[in-house]
Amino acid sequence: MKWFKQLTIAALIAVVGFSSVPASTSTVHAASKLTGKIVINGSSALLPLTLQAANEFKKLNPKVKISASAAGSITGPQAVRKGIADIGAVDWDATKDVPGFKKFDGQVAHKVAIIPFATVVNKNVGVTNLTTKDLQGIFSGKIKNWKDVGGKDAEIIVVNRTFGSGTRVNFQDKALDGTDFMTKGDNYKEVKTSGDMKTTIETTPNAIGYMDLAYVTDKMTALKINDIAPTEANVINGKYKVWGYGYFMTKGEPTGATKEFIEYIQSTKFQNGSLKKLKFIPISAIK
Amino acid sequence: MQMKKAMVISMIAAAISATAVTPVFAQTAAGQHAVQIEQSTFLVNANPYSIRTIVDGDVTLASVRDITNALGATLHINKDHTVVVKFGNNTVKLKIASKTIDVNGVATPLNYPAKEVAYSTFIEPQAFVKALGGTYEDNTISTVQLLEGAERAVWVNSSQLIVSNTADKGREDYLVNAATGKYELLLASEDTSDLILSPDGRSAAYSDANGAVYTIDLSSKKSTQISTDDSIKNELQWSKDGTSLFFLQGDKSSVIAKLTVADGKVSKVLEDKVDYKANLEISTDGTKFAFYVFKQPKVTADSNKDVELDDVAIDATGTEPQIYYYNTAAADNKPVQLTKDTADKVFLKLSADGSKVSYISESADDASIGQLITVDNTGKASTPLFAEKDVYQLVQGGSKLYLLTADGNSTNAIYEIDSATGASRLVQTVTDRASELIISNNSDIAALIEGQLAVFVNGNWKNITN
Repeated sequence: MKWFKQLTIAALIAVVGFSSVPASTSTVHAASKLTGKIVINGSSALLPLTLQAANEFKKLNPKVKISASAAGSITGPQAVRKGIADIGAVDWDATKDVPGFKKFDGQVAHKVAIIPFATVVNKNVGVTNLTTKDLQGIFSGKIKNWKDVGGKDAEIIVVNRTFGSGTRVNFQDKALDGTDFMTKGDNYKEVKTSGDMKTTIETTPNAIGYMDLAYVTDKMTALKINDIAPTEANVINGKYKVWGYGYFMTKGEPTGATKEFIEYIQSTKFQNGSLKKLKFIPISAIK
Repeated sequence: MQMKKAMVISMIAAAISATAVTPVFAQTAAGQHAVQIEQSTFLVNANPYSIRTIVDGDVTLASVRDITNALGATLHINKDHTVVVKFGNNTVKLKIASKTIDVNGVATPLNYPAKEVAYSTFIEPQAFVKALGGTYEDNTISTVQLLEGAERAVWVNSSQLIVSNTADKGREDYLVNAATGKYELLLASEDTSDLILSPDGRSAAYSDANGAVYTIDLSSKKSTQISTDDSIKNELQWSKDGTSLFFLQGDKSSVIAKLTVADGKVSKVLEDKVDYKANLEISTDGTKFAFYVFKQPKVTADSNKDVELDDVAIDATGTEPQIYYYNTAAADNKPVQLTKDTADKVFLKLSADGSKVSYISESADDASIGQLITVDNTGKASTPLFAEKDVYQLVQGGSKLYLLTADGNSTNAIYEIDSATGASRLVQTVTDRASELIISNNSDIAALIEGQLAVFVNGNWKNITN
């Protein structure tokens, strides 16, 4: 009988010792438990964030394989609907209609970040501020020369993202108040990704384009809009309007590794840590 | 969140007291009636202990000796049968059947007198623990206020760790005594990266959301800004001599950069236009680097086609993470690709002399196990250094490698690997609920177990945070 008592007590102590405090975040659990493969596709603006989260998540869950790619926001929910991706990264809520795109039925949108977008110009452009009306004129092709908006006498090169870009959807909606883009011309270029936009703006004199704030480099100038600088503070205080939520879309409610990964990227630890370091804004910053 | 944890602990303690009961019947010293001695589990400074208790009428008394042992206090019985317990600066003297106890020379009343059963002394736990300077509630004894939770930890030295927790605004970093769990706030910050401990253990580096880099002195707890460079900095790491910090620069981590601590200047070590590097590792002399490169699958999508057609294809061929090695003395100034296989790879350690890398290989087959692989700096792989058990984590502690592996029966195993010979040695086991292993340069072992930090001391795991 005595051995049984000792065994019982020992077992209880073992149980107590290792179960007294619940995980502080839902993803803190035994490294061995979670398996699976997560395929993510969509927004190039969200790709650095996705890959950073993936790298951190895999150290906690080494049995989970994660593949992340970017070819523009619209390809995210498309890939999910087609069944070739578990997560569609997109710069708008794809469960709702937006200009140019119908909603994706049956998908669930998970907010993962706030993305500020900036209007950017090549370093040789002397302009530092444009009004909404100036932007509407430039991106619709009606204003063609920098001298018409306070700059030097030089033709404006408009660099646009291709159809399907979430950055494009947000910029058209929030910076241009819905004004249509120009679609062709000698001084008009389209690029497929945020990375291509960065390279093009940095290397093309007199160019103007737009990108998420995190991609702005010291080889370009981020413009004020209506005298408001594109800063995190101005997004949070409501003065700067050109921003959007980044979403992870899933087919129905996520399960398994996909659910855990989304919870990781939404966790306070990641949002306040790596997400801010990459110059995104936590989803909790705007109520 | 802290309140929630405290509530959970109380609930668990209550559940324990209700369930962990094993009765033993004994005669009282006077032999007048049988008293039931029970074995109850108390949480003593966040660690479970088996404590003998008796129920006398409507009150539960606990074994003086068991509580004394659990606290690490000393117990002595005088010739006049006075029991003397010393704990810290407190001395408690008690006698069987007395309605008072002597606390540091002051007679203090008891609601119920101490009782002897089966040659052991039992007392009201609340009064006894209070007399020793602690608190008691629902089978939970606290003599040290422990930190609530632990999300990240790193050894400073064999007696101290930095423990970090998410706070309402940002993060809080604490210095925690490895033996007692006593803690003090080191840094409360909102937009900062994790603290990276300097090689001498006297300071830590971190960056803020603007990219500025700071060091904090662990003694004075004062932060000093050492760089105003605003580029994005990932994976800050000290050079072994403590004069520089290396990091992956930019939103795509494409550049390996170096920040000189003395003047804050940033210079580029490697700019090869290859994006998404990760797990940067640096040799002791700061001239050799290892890192992963994560390639993205190729996506084919025609933006001119109707969106409803979902004309999207993803080709992930050849996008498994691969290890690259860069020697600043290389004639062509280019990194060398060390691996080409299709296995997933996680964790990466570069040997101190830069001669080889070690990592955990996870093959595409879900049923396969994680293996420790070592590759020399020309790309020549050894046979797996460790393939007996599924490997979950690879950690470096000083010059040795440590593995957290499967073990079965609700435990994981911790192995030490001699990286020179490849010999493995079972060091210890830990619950399979451990999420992370933390090893010091002196081979001290700690583990994060469901949000609690436990250290391995004197042959036992001891929780040092709640």
